[in-house]
Amino acid sequence: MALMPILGVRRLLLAFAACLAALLGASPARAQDDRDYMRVIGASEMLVYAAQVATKLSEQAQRKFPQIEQSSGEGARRTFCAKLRDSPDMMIAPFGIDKSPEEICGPNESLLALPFGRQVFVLYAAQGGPHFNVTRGQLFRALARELPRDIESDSAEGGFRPNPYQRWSDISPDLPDIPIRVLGPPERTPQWLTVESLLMRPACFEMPAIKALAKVDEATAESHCLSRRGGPAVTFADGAKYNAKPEIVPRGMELALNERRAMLLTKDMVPLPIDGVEPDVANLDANRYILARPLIAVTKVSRLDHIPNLRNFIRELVSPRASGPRGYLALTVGMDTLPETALSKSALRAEFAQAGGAGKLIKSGEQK
Amino acid sequence: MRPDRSGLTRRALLAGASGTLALGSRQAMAEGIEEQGAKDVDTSDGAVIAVVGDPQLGPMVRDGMQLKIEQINATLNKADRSGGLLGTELRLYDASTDLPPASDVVGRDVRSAVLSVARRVMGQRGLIGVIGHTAVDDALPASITYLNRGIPFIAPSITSSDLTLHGLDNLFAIMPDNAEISTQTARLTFDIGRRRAIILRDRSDGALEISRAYRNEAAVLGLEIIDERSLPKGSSPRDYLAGMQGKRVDHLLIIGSMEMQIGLVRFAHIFGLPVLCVLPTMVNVEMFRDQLLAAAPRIANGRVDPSFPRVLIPVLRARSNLSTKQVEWGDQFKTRFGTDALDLSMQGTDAVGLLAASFERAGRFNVNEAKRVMHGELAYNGVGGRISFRANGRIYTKLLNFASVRVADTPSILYYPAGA
Repeated sequence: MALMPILGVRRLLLAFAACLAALLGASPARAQDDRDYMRVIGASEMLVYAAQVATKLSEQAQRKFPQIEQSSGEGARRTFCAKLRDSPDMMIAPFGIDKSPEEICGPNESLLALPFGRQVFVLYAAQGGPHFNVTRGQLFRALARELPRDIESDSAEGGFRPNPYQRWSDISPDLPDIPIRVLGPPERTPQWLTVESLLMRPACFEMPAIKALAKVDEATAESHCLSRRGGPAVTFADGAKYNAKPEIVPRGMELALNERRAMLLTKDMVPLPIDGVEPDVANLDANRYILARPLIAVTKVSRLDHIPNLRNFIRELVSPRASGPRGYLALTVGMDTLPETALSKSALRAEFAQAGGAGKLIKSGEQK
Repeated sequence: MRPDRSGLTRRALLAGASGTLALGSRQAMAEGIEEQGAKDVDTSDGAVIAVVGDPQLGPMVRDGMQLKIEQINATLNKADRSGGLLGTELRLYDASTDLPPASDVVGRDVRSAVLSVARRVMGQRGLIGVIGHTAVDDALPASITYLNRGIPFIAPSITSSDLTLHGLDNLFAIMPDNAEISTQTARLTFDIGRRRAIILRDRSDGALEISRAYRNEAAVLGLEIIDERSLPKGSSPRDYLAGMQGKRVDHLLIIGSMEMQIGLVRFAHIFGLPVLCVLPTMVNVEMFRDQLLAAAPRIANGRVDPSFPRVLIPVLRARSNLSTKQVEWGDQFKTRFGTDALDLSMQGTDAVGLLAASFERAGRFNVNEAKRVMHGELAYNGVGGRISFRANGRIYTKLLNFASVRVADTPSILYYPAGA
């Protein structure tokens, strides 16, 4: 009775339950929760690939499903790289071609990074809509909210002005004399963040005035570069609708900018060339099309032989039946595939990777 | 001053101590259980699944279960004993309103009531599983009664990690625990650009658990926790919210009862903290929106002040982004029961589906085999997504969706769907 005021009735009940649990066969090992499944984390739009592969594996054999976790690209990287015993074993992410292992988790984590597909963005119009060649710089000038007063000046002193361009021909006389009307993914979606890193930031930082500003104040330069224009020139898909179905349908003179995978939802659309390069297989394989980047599965080498099914998962992910041109990731969820040589290189690396071995990041430039 | 050790740690110590004491007699009893589960259940009069619950929440789970049981039975061909579950009809034993409501679950009198219901359920011939219980205080003693017969027990809605702390062999929880919910909430908060938080919580063990998990994930992601207050019952928000006006924060994490959460959202607005309010607990989002709307302060023409904060809540289904399976299930539920389906009913449906899939894979009505399948190899694809279990019996495969509730201007609920 003396214990009652200290612990309370509820705690006593729980203690009683614990006692019975021990009597009746609850295993202390279970309570410690030794992990017998793999954990994979990724930017949310990447997880569809992990889920497809996991589904195939669990259909083929009696296997537990991986724990699939989502975050933004940066959130996924931080969680993956956390120095915790139980951090995720694999991260699926799109990376630029210049990423080195140190930039992912720092020098002390040995990583195996295997390209298995591509993320491709396209500018497209409806059948019968406008079709012309546009450069990345011109497209940026159509989308930006503000531009340096003197774009060609190499001084940061000139300041900024609201985007003055109303028609494509205002940007360059080579472009058609039609009003600028571009539809894009909603702000803060992973798709828009990708547009920022593939299009907005690099195109903006090519301008001498921005280069000069970045030397003194990079954060301000970045915020100018990433500010996007409002209607009627540029409009963005409704967030809730886009989350439910990431389709953007241009009409008449409108153009749309979206992940190509989402074009599966939008039949009969015509992609426009960027910098004179069409987003076709030959150009993608040659890394000539600039609005594309590889999808990479990054795995902690030290986990490969300790986490059940991790190696099987990797083998399946980089296999032709999953990620090849006729693989189920292309056919069911529209993933853009890598050339077969790049995929077999990934498969080979996956096969021979072992703890203590060379777990170096493969740069996507090496994939050819 | 509160003692340093949390309730959770104390319970773990208690469990450890009692476990050690019991070690000598454990082996013999465990052997008894093995023997119980080793025989196949006699299902000559049908295989029985029981639902146990309180009058408030039990019927919601029951309806979801009923739907799935009817669907399985519809495939049964009695002539050649095909279809159904292993050629057998499923029957529902309904104790969905027999427990006292969760809010009344305190004290020994409830325990004896719970055990009496559990024993009655155990007396059912052909019993292959129990689904239900909405409070950990009644689920845990009952689960030990179920364990005594080796019967699998699926808890569809309990988030407290106390439930799976002891790793009971027969217990499966298909709702993520508080720590998991909190971790996923922290990630979303980070992903939508929030970086500085104040945590306001009540003094319950659950709130402490949620807060710790949020802090852990915040440390990984680089979210800054500016301040944390545990609020005594009956304290006035004025005492602490006034002191927070000068702090640069972009979200408040509010952990407690729905009444407390709504009160704090309201006071945050009154004290001029125009921040996102994040509530890392599972609630009925439509009901929450209505209550928030009723509590929101009004300006001219009875309109809600447009600066009233937005609220972020984890949910099981994103209504704007339902999967094909969820749409079909929702339609079937409405046709069968004439009402819109609730998330708890979906959990009931999935719990029956999970049990059925386990016995199906085991190939016979053997509870030990079914439990082994559930623990070791099952990746059941339910209406709410995949279900696989950690070794302690807690689901780890549930990706949560989030609802953004705004009651200013036109009340609205927008969703951040998982994997979108």
